[in-house]
Amino acid sequence: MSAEVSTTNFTFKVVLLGEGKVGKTSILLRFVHDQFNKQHLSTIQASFLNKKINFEHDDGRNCRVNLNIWDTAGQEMFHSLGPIYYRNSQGAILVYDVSSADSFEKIKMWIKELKKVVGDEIVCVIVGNKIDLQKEGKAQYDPEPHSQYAKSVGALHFLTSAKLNENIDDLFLEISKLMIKAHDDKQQATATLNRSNSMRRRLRVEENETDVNIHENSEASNSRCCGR
Amino acid sequence: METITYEEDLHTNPLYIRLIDKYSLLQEISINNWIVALPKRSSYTSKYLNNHEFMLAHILAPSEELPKTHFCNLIGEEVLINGTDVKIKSDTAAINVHILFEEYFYTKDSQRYKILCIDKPLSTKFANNLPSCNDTVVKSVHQSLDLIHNLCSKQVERKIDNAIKSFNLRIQKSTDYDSLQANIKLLYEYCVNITCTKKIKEEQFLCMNMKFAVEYVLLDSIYDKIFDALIIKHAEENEKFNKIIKNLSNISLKDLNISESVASKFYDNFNIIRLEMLKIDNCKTSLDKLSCIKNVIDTISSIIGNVTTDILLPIMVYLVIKGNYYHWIPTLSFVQEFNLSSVLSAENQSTGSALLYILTTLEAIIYFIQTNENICLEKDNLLNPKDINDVHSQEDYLIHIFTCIKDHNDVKFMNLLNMSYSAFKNELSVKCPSIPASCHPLCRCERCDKKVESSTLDINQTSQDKLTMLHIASAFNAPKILTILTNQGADVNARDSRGYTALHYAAQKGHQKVLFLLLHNQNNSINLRTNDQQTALILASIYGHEQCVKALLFFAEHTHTALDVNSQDKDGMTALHYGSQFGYNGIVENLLEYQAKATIKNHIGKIPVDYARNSIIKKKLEEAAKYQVEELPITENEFIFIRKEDLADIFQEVT
Repeated sequence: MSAEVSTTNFTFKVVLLGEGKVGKTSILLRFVHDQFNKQHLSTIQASFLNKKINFEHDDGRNCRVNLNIWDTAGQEMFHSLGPIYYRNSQGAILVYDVSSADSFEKIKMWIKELKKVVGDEIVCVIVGNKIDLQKEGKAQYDPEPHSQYAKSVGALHFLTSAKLNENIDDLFLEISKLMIKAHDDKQQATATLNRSNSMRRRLRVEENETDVNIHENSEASNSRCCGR
Repeated sequence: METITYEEDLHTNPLYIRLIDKYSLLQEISINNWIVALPKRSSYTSKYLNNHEFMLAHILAPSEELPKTHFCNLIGEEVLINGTDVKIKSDTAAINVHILFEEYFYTKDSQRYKILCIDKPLSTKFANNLPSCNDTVVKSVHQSLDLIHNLCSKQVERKIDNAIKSFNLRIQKSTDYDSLQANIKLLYEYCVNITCTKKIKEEQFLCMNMKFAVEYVLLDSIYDKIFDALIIKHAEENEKFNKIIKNLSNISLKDLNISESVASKFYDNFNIIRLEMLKIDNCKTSLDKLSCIKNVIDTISSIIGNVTTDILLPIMVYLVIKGNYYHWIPTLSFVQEFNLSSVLSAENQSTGSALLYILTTLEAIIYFIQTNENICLEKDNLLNPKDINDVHSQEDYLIHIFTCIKDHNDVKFMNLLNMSYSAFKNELSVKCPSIPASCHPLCRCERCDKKVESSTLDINQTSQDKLTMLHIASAFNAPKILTILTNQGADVNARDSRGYTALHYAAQKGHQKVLFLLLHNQNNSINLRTNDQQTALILASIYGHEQCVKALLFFAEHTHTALDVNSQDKDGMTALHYGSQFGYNGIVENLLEYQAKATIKNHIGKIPVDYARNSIIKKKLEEAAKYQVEELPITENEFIFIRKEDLADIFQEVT
């Protein structure tokens, strides 16, 4: 391995949504469970948490992701404060309890709201927690319809157990990768937009200069552009 | 605990680069759950890099018995980790190092290992007397001055001094907020430019620290001016906000869905937490202010355990409402707009992320209070509503009537008023055994007459809390019912158990129409005091009801009633003290125009101007105090008149 490995740094804000008692806090605490001591973490109790992870991305890049995870209020009373919390976030983890159908209904509502407020740029991951209940035979659960729903809104679907530490690390790794992808896509989009803008500008200059060019270019743009 | 910590990109740390060269070692680390302790970049020299032992000294293997705290490095030294402290012992010596931050690394095959970044090399063998480096963020003006003194020339220090002096001279001339803000940004940039030399800029953390130091030094000398400007800029919004929090002051944690067990722990320690929060007023940088709120949150969680947003938000809402701090809007604005080193900006999320969360929480709290003025209006301490079916006694019957008044149900109220309790019960076709039937329905014998009398409702009948129907009509703004009651001779000066009359309630709740109706009743006494020695005027001033303050003053003037504008409550506070404290500009103005004295001392020797933060109010009070001391004649009032016609309208409407 070469000594000069370059790394790409990312900082992402991820909001944690979910009704009370679905295990939001447990997932959060499990993710940082191994840490030595809460004292030297930049955490604010169980409501804000920061963790830095490094991994090699599928495309070979070394990525360093600074994850800021924000807990949000699940109470109905504070519903109107949602947008204040999730503005400027790149990711959302929506947690439901696999033994409670109601908690999944809430997810649908949040997805709708997120898309409305933050738009499609936010990466959503739907998480069914407490999968251990099913293993212990305490709850009957068929993940299929929920996976279908997640697919329909373009979200990943994860089944976790904060209690048994199942899938928690993967969940955060996966959402990090998705956010990196979204970030790359966005940058690419702005890059192409800039390029096409500069093209257009050049076109206009040429139009003013010679008659011949006007003709040629307008023909070209007719064939490509839908408007004119 | 730090809110902003040392940062460096570990991938560029020379020792880390060495380490990833040895792929097999990395695998071993992740398989064995070893931990890498990486000294920060500037703490060791490159001469150690080729020393294999140096690398091994920084790989820690957990012990079998106590894998969380006891370790052994690969050259056999014992390492103890306790919180952020790392202790290393060998036969010859012991050294202490600190953990700066930690990071997780995932290998390709999803194995993971952890790296701790520490402030100096972790081995007694390599311990040399390196100069102690700055890896903590400056936290006070003194530390900041020291940092600048140690790293900059005398000339630079003088330049900063001069820049601040000339800035102060410049802003004395104009107090325009926008130019003030722009000037401060310029001043800051100038100072950062001269302090952050090329050499400092090379070290990312040091450069950030220097920026904080500059921010501290600048704001220490100009904070007051900025905050004054913000108070003026947001005076109206802040006045509104204070009025809301005063009027929400009977809120409980239960109203905010906090469980009883959590609430009782919180109430027991309310004062400790509140005092922690009040420190925010002495913080002069936005970082300090947010760190202060962080301390509040830490204190809360030390009392009630793990705090999630679902618990934190309501508790903080409660604290803001009940905390006796009255400058939230300018405070929020200060934090947002005068975060000079821009550690809170979105691009800088990695360093200031925790603080950004706190800022967002503060914003959310204020927004929540502004949009939920009526959160505890439904519930009222005065009244536990009683449905028809809950009426089992004479007292219940009265409460049931209260409920009708509260609901402004005039028709039902009239029916009930003209009916006795027994009749009411009969109507419900429930036999009421306690009241024996009369000899015959129209019997007027002595025995029966007495019975009827005792069972009809007295218009001044009181509940357990000594509340009368008139109190309720006043508190819940029911002018029509109130008029009926006064016409039937209800006692307008009846006091409840807290010593409140109907007029007090009207003033406290801000019902101007009811207030006028009560004032126009000839029996009404305008200067009665509650058990806390508060008059109606003081109550209207505390709760920010300018319309009621005006109404009281105007009425007194026009009817030549002697209204005591200078009466003091149990703490010696006058209406003017309160108006000044809560920044109610209009109320202060009105009181002063009606000759309220600005020189009265309360029980701790303070006069109204001592509570004023808004420089406009301050000026008014100072001028008034000056006049009053010199006892110059005060000019004729020019008032906002409530015209006689309007008054007549009010009467027509209610009668």
